[in-house]
Amino acid sequence: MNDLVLNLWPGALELTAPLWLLALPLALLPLWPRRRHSLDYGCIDWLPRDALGNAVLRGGRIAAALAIVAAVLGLAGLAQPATEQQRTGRGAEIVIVLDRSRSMDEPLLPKGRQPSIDTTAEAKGKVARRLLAEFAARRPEDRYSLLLFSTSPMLVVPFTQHGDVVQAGIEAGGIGRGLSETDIGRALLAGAEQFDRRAYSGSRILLLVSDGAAQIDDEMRGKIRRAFERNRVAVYWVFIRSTLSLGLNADENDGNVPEAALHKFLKSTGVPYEAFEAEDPEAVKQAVAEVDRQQNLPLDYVERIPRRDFSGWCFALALLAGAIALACRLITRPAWKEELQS
Amino acid sequence: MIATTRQLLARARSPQARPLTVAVLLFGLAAVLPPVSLPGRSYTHMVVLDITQSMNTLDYELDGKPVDRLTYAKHSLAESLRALPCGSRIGWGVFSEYRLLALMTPVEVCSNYHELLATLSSIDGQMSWAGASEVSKGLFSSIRALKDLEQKPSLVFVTDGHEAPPLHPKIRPSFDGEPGAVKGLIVGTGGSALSPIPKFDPDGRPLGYWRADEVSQTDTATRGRTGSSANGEAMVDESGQSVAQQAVVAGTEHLSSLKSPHLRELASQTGMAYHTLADADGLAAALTDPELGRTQSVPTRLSWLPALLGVLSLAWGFRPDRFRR
Repeated sequence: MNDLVLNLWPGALELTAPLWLLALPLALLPLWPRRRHSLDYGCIDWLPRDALGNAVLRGGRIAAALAIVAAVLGLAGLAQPATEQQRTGRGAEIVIVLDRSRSMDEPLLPKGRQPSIDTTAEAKGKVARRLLAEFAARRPEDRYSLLLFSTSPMLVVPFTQHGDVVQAGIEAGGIGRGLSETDIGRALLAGAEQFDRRAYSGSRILLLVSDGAAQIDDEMRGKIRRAFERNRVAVYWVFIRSTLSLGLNADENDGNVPEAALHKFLKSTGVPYEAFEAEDPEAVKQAVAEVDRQQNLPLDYVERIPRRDFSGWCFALALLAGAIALACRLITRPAWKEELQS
Repeated sequence: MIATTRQLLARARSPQARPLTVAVLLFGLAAVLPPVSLPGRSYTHMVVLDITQSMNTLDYELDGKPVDRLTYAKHSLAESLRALPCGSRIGWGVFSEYRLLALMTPVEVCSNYHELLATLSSIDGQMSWAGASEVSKGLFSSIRALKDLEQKPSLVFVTDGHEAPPLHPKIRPSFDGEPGAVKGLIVGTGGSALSPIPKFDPDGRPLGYWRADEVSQTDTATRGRTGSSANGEAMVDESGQSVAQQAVVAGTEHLSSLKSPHLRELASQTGMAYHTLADADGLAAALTDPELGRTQSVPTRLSWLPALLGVLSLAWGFRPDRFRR
């Protein structure tokens, strides 16, 4: 990155290497009055005035000066800086709330397989990351925010449209083991609060990716429900089943089934809610289809217009102007002495 | 017709027109020359920030106000991102307890500059998941974690070196990796004088400063087994000799300063470089140390060269009369 950038026209034109402009006075050389074409001759008053010849000569010099100016601007790196433009498309703002607790390091086993000796299965976290990466890749126009949680929620990427940054955040979850605890309540709240003080511009989705093993107390439930309602968030839960889990639809009172309790709570919040089971290979397609179907309100988004380098055009202009100058030189008859040689 | 063309070509080669002809050819070359792949230097850093409580110590100054180490380190990092050549990649991670938590694998700097800054600014002490700060173990485990990454990032570990609980002078975590397998830089933060460490509750509200009796002043080896045996059975080394216990004196573990000798030693153990954070320029220079970079082919525009020669050629063709024979 170059610090020395001259903004000619803020947001429209800039020079990346303005020091080259010091060469600009060279453009005065062709315009400098000179006596090159004068000859020692006693009297020229009898010669007819060659208006056309003079004009061509002058035009040639101006063209040469232009060529120098254009080439120097090219050298100085004339460019249109990267700009952003507000546009309205269809899409959603999605907060991904990703479980980073240690239970996610356990393998995801298909139903009915024994956990102890089966080492072929992928870790739950890995499955989750793969699913998320797919999801984000399939809906590239959406705006994403990524939040990790275990003991406390950690905002990794605030809302962005840069897919590679989101993917890098998801990928980073694969480095090292998970953390020890799971506070899913605070994570849900922090996820919903991501939308606080944000202009409502498009559908809002909280995409929870978790094996969901934690109870939420009543006070926290209230806070979460209010945050969901306040921000009009739709909740999608990609549920990654633990080996011995009874599943989302187990009887809540049948022992300790926190995921079923969470499922029931989320259903009761009154906001649009849907759960997907991650072991189903179709889950991502389903989730994307669901989001496609429901969450395509107009989304104000910022389109980035990449930087455009004009130096090539400058050099082309210099070529053109130089060619005109050359043509002027060629069609005018140079001093008699030179012409006589040929 | 042919005669005219020949005459024009002859004129184009005449000493009068030659500089112009040359300039036109050079401008043409400049306009069409595609970027050429030339070797250039780029960097891939995984920057790991210590977010333990000692990093809240206010011993830096920014715009005339005292700021804590973490804030100052973040500020300096944000500034020095600009010094990295495009094509370089930066990732973020945080350190607490005894391990690294990666937040983002390295992404390209120039196109993701604002995103990188946004993630950097969201890093704070509240992310921390534990009270301990075992710097040596954290560094070693970070190296282990990065070793197998595809992009082979270098590790930039930003810490004040404050170990909590403190280390026994003899029994230290050992580095079992190969020194230099992961290249990197330890960035030491903090002042040379001991300063009090601010204390916060889990929601980030200030609770004054840590007091001497609130932190563990002795290392775990000296304390012995206080858990399972009542009178604190002393630790023994491999040969069964009792490990020399450190005299329990009024400690200064509730105060913090930059532990640069400790960090320098960790750096030499792991084959990393060491830099004391003073300002953004110094950090930028340390981050762009050629040792940490790698050479890869970078598309480079070379059209400036023919364009410059073209300008000079034109200028020569129109040089003032007095420079002529």
